[in-house]
Amino acid sequence: MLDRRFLLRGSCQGALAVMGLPFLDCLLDSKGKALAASGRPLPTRFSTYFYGLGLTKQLWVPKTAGKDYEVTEQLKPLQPLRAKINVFSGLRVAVDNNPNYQHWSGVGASATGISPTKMSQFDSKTIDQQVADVVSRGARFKSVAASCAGDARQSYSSLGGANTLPAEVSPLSLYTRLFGPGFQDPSKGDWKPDPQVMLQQSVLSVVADDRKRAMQELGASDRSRMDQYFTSVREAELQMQAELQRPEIEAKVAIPAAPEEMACNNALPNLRKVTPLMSRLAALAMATDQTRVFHMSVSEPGSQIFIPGDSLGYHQSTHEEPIDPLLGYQPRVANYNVYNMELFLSYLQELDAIPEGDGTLLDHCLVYAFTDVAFAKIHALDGIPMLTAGSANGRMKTGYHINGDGSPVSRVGLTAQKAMDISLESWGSGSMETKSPFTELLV
Amino acid sequence: MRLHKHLWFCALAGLLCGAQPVSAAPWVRGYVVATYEYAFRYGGRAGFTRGSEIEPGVDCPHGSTVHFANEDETRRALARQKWRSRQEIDWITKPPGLGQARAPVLTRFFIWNRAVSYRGYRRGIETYVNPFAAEDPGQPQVVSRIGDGFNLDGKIGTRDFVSPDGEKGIDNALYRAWGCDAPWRGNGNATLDLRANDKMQEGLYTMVIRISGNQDPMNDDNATVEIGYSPDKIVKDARGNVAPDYSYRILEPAEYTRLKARIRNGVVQTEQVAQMHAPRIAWFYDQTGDADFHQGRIRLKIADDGSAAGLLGGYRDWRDLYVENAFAQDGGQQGIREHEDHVALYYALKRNADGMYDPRTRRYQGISTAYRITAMPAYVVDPDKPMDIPLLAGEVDRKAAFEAIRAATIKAVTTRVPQDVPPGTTEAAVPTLERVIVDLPSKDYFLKTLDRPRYPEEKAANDTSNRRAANDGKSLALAGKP
Repeated sequence: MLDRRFLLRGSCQGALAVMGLPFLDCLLDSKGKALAASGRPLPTRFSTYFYGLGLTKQLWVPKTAGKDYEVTEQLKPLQPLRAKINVFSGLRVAVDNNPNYQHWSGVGASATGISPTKMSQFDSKTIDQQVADVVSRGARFKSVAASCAGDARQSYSSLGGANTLPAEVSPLSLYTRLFGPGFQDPSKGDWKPDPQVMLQQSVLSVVADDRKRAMQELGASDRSRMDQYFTSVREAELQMQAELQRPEIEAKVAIPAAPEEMACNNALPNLRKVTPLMSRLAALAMATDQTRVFHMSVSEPGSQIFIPGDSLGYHQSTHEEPIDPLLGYQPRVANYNVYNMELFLSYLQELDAIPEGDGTLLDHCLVYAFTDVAFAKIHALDGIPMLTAGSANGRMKTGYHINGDGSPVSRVGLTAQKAMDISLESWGSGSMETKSPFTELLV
Repeated sequence: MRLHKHLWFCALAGLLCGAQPVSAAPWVRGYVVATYEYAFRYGGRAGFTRGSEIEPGVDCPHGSTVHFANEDETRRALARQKWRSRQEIDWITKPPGLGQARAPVLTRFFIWNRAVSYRGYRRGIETYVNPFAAEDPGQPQVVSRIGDGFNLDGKIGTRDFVSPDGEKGIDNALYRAWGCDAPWRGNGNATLDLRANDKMQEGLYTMVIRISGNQDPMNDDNATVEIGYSPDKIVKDARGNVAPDYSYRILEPAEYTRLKARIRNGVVQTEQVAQMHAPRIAWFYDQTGDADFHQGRIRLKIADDGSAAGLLGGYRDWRDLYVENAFAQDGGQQGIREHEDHVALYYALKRNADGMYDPRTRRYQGISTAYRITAMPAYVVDPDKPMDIPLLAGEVDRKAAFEAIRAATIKAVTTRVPQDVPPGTTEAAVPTLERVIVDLPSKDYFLKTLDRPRYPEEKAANDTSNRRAANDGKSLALAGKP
């Protein structure tokens, strides 16, 4: 069988030139699916999902651990996909000797395994980017981030430090990025490499010659900066390289028409409209191998979600609503906790709605959902909840409630990366460095 | 390692105990403080609920404070400033076009924050640094006669409380002044009690107690109590409870006091000392530091399971208490979110001050207090070599800003000359409001009308303010990265 990747590349006067090939029958299987032809397994996709303000412990945490746990009131919305979800409770963030940044330490620690040393910054690449480094080669986009509340800064996907990867802020902007200019539907027969991309790639390759010369003349610190810069350039090259090849896909999908522009903000009714749409686009992006890593957020830490007419909204309610002495929790806040689970379900349902191979897209994904706090009223870092969904192509057992018993949140991160087949011994740092994944979940 | 070392020590002590009469054996018991709260006694019925409200009770017949809890309360607070126009009050209370803002709750919150931060007798005087310049909005005070604490002055006065076990003359004027404030009132679930304890247990600071003597740990006429700061973070078990029997160092240079004590049937009563130092209640790093009790003393009851519970008490400078609470974040934020009004609190603290008489000013600078603690058994040991209380490197600038605003406030209330807000704080929502308000159609009106601190070093202030605003989490997306 021909290797299309090899045949599509060549050289021209020292610069890389890329040539398209006719769509040869020998590249297809009887159904016309490139993936089936190559025989390579379906790629495992990875997604992070962020929601703000934690949980109401009494209503969220199942009483028993294991597979037969009784679904609690706040987990009921996830019941339709219970068998594909893992619930983690009793996790902890240790700040060690770093500041305890309210609403941020939990985000940073869950996303990197490291207690953050600076507000609003991550002390390493976030887990999605760590995974993307391994799994994204060959996809058109290394990763994509989207904010259902319409704020580009509501992205918890980062290259480290302040290098947050901005989120797409509406279904239309997400659609345009994924399926607008430059996109070719891999399921269509008229797919061909974009000549503009070919040209751009050639230009980058010429620059590559110059950069070697430049690097030799630089000092150590400048070399390091240039290294970082050229890493980005290299990633752009790889992306272009990917764009010059028909993605190998198995899913049966049709790319819809562009969505209308719509209001994207913190109002719950809008989120209920926007989140499924953005989720659908995220699912299509992963199904068509535009990206293998997707980050979705429905709010910022300290979520500003509100129901019109509620003058306090979610975050303010966590502070102002008294704990009901009889119930032992904050009833209004508890409702908002449930809305969060409903929004999460709408994301998962879109992934699960796409048939792929012997299951659905969700079965070939691992979704890693995290939040900023446990009991939001006091910004607690003890008892933080997490969720995963999807079986990572059969490498992760699902349907379990895992009681973390005070384990660091990094154990879930390590487990997720093991399930993604990433080779690493430990994850996290300080008190959160762990070599102990939840092995009971790993296949 | 340290645990092993002290287990060995205890085993040796046990052998020694076995060789000598129990009544003459030197003994040491250590504790790590697990909860630390102002000793405010909730007067409502346990288990009563009314739509999740905290019940009015014998302590506070009108219930907890409701400052800034809704538009009417905020309007009432703003209407006291005669220099505000009707339109200004109306627009602040209900900002026009709020529904068009991405984050309307947050936008209104910071407009209110800035507005309530300027309630002086004229425009331009920041209220929380200069509370004396604002009209007293009135503070609901505790009216119950039952209260926890000590008879600090040795007298039985008409305004003194009676302890739950019948002791008369209890001095706890802080409870009277502050006990109805919403975040501190509750039946074990007051917001800031929960929060402060949670942060302490998460490692913000650690307080330890070491009791030693030569007779019997339950009965000793010549015992010693040490209280102080430990650089070792509290260890919790898998269920999130403070774990017993871990080792903690106790530091002596600061926030430390050694007191003589007498123990009868497991009740430890210390002497009353002119000054008793111990860590403060805090839920942010900048609040941490020394709680300087005058005429301080401690009472602890040792339980059969080895834990301890009791009270610390003494007179504290009421200005310190004001500052420690008002500037946990900033006065407006603390007020609107927690329904406390620090102007009301300022007048209540001043009105109820009952100790530390200063003949020069002819005023009481202190207010009688009691703090409630519970503690778990621990090994409290000296450090291998003397050490200072460590600084948290990432919070040094924030701590400096806190100390600066503390100094400005104490100068203001002492001299009654209005002081500026030092840079580096988030007082009056600077510059958070400017960032949050961008999509409000009426933003120009508020930015033009509302006062705000102006700094020559605006950039430096902004940098720090961003961190603090974001730290609060209300404005991560709007006040800074990401």
